[in-house]
Amino acid sequence: MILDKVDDEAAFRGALREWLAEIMQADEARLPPKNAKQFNTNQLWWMAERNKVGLGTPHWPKEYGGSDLSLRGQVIIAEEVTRARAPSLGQFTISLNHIPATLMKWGTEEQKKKYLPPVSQGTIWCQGFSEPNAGSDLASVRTRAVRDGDHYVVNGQKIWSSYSMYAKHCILLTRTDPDAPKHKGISFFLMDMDTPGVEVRPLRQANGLDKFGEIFLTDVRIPVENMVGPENEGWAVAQTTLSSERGINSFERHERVRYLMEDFYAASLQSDAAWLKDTAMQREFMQLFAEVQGCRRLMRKLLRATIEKSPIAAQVTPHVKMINTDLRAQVGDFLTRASGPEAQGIVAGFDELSTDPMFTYLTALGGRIAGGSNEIMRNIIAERILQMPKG
Amino acid sequence: MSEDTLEEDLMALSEGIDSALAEMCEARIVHTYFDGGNELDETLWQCAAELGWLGIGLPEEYDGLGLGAPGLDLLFRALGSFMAPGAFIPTLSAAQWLAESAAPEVCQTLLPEVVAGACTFAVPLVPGTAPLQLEGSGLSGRPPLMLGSRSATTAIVAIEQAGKPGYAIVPLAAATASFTPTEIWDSTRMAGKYEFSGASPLAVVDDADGAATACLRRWLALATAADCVGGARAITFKTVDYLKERSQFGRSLASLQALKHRIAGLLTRVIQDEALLDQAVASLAGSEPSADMWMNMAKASAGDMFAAVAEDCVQLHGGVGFTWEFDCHIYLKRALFNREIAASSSVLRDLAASQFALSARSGASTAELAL
Repeated sequence: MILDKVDDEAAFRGALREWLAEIMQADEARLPPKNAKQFNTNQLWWMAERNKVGLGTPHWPKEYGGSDLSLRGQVIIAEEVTRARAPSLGQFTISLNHIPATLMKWGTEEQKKKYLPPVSQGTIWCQGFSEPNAGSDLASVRTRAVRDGDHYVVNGQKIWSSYSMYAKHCILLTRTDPDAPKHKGISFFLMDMDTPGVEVRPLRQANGLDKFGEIFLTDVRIPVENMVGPENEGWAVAQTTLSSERGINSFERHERVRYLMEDFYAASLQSDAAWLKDTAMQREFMQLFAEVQGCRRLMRKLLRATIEKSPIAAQVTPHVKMINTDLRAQVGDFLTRASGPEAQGIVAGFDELSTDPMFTYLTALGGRIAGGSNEIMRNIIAERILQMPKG
Repeated sequence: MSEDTLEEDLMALSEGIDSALAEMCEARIVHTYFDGGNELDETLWQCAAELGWLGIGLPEEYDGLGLGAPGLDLLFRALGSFMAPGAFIPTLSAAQWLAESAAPEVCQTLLPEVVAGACTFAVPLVPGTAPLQLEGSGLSGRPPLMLGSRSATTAIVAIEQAGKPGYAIVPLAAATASFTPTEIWDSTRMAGKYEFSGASPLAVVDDADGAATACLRRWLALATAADCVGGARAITFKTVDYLKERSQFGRSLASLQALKHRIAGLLTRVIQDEALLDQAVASLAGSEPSADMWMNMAKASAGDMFAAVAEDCVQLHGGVGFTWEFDCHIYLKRALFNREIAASSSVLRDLAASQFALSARSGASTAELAL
């Protein structure tokens, strides 16, 4: 098993590389997905392959189907996966990060036993947090849950729920006490997506994919035992969910930017691309490449701080979020211009390994908005790090 | 020296440097120096010699502390942060250059003197340009603007000898070298023009392969880039303090979101360039082949960043930011002067682009990072 070698870095990397070299020969790995549906199938294949070698949920506690893999071990996996240009587990972001973080702290033993082990078998979770009128101001959620015997009856609408059309379960924020101050009347539920009254409509994004869904909830009955944490204390539970360790996700995403740029440059050399003779473009490429490298260092610093539980982590996080999402957009824009009119044609490959510059660019614009918009990051930097007074 | 010990040594040193500079280079004292009212450069130089700063990067065999690039990085970030005056950039860069490029006996003569504070250098602002002819009668002529002061004891001068490029290490004697200081906008630094008339070099360093030029540029770039990130961080935090102090329309300026977002953006840029400089310093300390590429990029980026940040801090201060009394203009002038040191940002990026192309063509990556 690959994970047996985790204590010897060289051997661990060697085993990962060997496995990746083999798996990357598969059709699913070689042929980029052309649409969201194919992406979904590819993701299920990728999770199954990872699970075969114990890399489905390696960072989870052993008793819930994991291997207690350290953050350091996860970093090595992310490095090798990206080096091999292998897929991400993007469709399982909520399943792999938010669910364990939330249930470990707040879940009952029954909830943990029921929901954690199936994730490595490919169970997709989605997040029902944002609403049309509760985006950056998440605490103003209005989706209503009313107790009725041993159930809650839920009515409302959720939005920006990634992969909700494929999800089996949803983590749901609802308002249970409309008269309490907005942070005090929220409850947190685990909802089965096949419950009557749940309807998902895909939302098409600017990059052509429909990974987001809108979830419409009409008289949806959720059993009381599916509540996480006490009634009306869902806001605290949601804070745990949102602060779950996702550093490794952005780390992995940013590692890919390095390879994107190096591969683009190598392809440009091969084709003797015109931009290589343009001094201004070359300078711009170097500046971006240098900034990407700086950001990769920052990511490592952040992960080290997380491992050491250093307070530096909280200081660096909002900067890293801004820097890496801005850089991805800037790199996408650069690749689009450097590719000239060719880049206006759709090339295909609708996933994180896509080499379509416009797709890269358009996808990156979402990064600046998601996960706390970069404007919210600026507020956090100013108010929490620099202690500037609230307006 | 193991990495952990190095880190501990640097941490301990950093606190000492910061507290000494906080006392000696308190802003009022720097302003008075800026206007010619004290001799801060000389007192600071003596203090630097006593505390061992002048040998921070040099090998122990020359009385240095042996901390190399990471040590210099730390010192120059602090000097930049406190707007420290003095010939630190030319002298410490030249000393590192000598240690790598000159014969051991030359190093043995000069470097312990540097550490003791008795030898200071004048160096080309931009290495590798406009060489003087070195002939049997010695060195004569006027090289382009040099970094250095009236009290410099030794000059590094780009030369050509029998058609071959190199550098002359020239003791500055009144009879054969006259110095005319240039009044520069950034009065915390010193620069000027030399006229040599038959000066005899102590030694000559060959530069047929350009390695000596690259080496001098590398150390100037490191010192300057570190000064830039240190300065940019300091003026950003001073601007935050000012915004917290200042009220208009009955509210603190620091509570205005437009200004908060500007400040957050500035700090993010500073952090980005600090990380890029970390990359350059680590690759230099690890003697990686890509070290010069990263250093060229770090200096280009930090120079442009510092100028932009300092300029915005003038604006964020409002009217007082435009006055001679506040710190903004000193940081801004240091930034603009820094931008010229080692080479312009465009030249540095072009150099880096060729270095990148070379390794890409050979199939090597310049971006490998340890965990």
